[in-house]
Amino acid sequence: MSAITTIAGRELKSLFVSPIAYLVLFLFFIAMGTLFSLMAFRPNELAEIRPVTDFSRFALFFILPGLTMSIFSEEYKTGRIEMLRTSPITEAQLLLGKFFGAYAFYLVLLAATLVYVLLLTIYGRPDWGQTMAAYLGMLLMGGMFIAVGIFFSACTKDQIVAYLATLLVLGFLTFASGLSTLLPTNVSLFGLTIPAAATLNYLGVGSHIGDFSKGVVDTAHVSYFLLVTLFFLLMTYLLLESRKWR
Amino acid sequence: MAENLKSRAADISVERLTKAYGNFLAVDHISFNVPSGTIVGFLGPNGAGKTTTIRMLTCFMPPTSGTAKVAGHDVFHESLKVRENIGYLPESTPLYTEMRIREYLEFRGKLRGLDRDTRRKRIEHVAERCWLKDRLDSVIGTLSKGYRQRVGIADALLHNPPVLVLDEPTVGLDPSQIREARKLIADLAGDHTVLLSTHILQEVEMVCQRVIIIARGKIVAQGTPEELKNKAGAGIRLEVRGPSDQVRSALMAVPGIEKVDVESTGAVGRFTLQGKTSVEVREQIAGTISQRGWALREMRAEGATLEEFFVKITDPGAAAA
Repeated sequence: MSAITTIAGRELKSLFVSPIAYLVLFLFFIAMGTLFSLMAFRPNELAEIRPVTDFSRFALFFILPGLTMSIFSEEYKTGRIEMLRTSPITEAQLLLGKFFGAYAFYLVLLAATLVYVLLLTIYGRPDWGQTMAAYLGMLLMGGMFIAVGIFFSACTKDQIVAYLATLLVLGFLTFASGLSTLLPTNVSLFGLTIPAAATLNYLGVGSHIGDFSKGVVDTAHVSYFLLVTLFFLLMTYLLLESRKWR
Repeated sequence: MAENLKSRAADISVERLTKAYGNFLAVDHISFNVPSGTIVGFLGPNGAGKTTTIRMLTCFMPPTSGTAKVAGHDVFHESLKVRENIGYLPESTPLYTEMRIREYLEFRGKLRGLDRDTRRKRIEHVAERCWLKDRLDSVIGTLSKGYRQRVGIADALLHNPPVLVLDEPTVGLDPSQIREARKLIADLAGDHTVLLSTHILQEVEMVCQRVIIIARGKIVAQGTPEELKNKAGAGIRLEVRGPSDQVRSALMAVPGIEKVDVESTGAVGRFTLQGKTSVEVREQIAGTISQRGWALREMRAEGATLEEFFVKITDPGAAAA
């Protein structure tokens, strides 16, 4: 257990001295702040954090990969992977340490957005249940985005490639729900009727984050985020193990 | 943490270790043994398979076949235990350049499961031995190659492992530091088993008790530096006035002489002899020549160097020893 916390701690400290992380931080607050001030914090609007969390994915899908792109790719490029792999830790501990380190940075970012909640309470009466559900959604969504980012970072020693690949996948997941309306409701394929629009909608983040923003915690949506997160973490673990053999 | 080494197995034993990349054998069924407490030099030309072998021993990559045991644990089946018992300095000395030396050593200490007090003491200790005391709070990115090398060595020593694997440890150090580093490594003998991979032959002669030479994936020679130097064809150079072919056959007949090369013929011939160069052999040669009535104008025994042996044995044209 302490190997994981050691690696996570080191990763977090390293992020705090890295210029890219500050760029991420800067863009994150510009995006969230804009959402908040234009959509939530206006006269006659309901005092809720809902619009911020509802639309956050459109900002996070290209900002969070900036956080994760170098997590493994730098280790490959500098040869530090040799130091890590010959240390008495398992690949699982290494992976989880890196994940929690990046996630901790994300938690700091999220914690800073609590100032919006503070502002809402000064000028209105936000529903606490709804607010908590919304933040739970953000926590789950962030975990998923970071897991995808870490996977692609472990695929290559080139940060840029890792960033672009992550961007592509997260972009797909972000826009899928919105774009699903363009698909026909049913598609006939090999004699089967496939509900194309509904499938694409389900794959997208949009169809899952909405309920959290409203204040509803539905286990169906919780499982979506957790399963995709676990899927990408597992893939990363398998990738790390398989690289030993090459 | 100053345990008696005899109480813990710290030898390295390798049997038919192989690493194949497709059909290419980077390491070809090599076998060797490093007894506990000795310092062994691992020599070989570039691409010979030294680093690949080292990487298999330190569990960076698994062998294709064969076995390797470090400190009594198999590198494939008990990889974690092997890694606990090895201190490794990779050739590229990879470090986190944004960290300070002390931070980095703390990180490494924690990864190795050292508790806070032990970490503090060990960091003080290795900082002293590796001449890092005055720069413990410097950011690694600002340090010269020499300092970074020392951080790497400090890292390898930090948890006082029974086995140390050092890949080119003196590269990047200035001459006085090189001397100190070699002294440091030599002092480790007895308490640690050290596998030292290097290109610098005089380093091997100065520091190592045994030498393993590897070329093209195979071990081509093993032994103490002395043994290998003797094998190298320490020679005797002769200048003799007499008929060359007769002189040659007379010299061949001397026990201990393996080969006679005729350097030049004529009234006075020059000969190079390979074989034993002991005083007895030389006296016998002198005796033989004067008995036959030839004039011995010059006789000189030349010591061999490890370099000559190395070049000869790793020559692509030479067969494996």
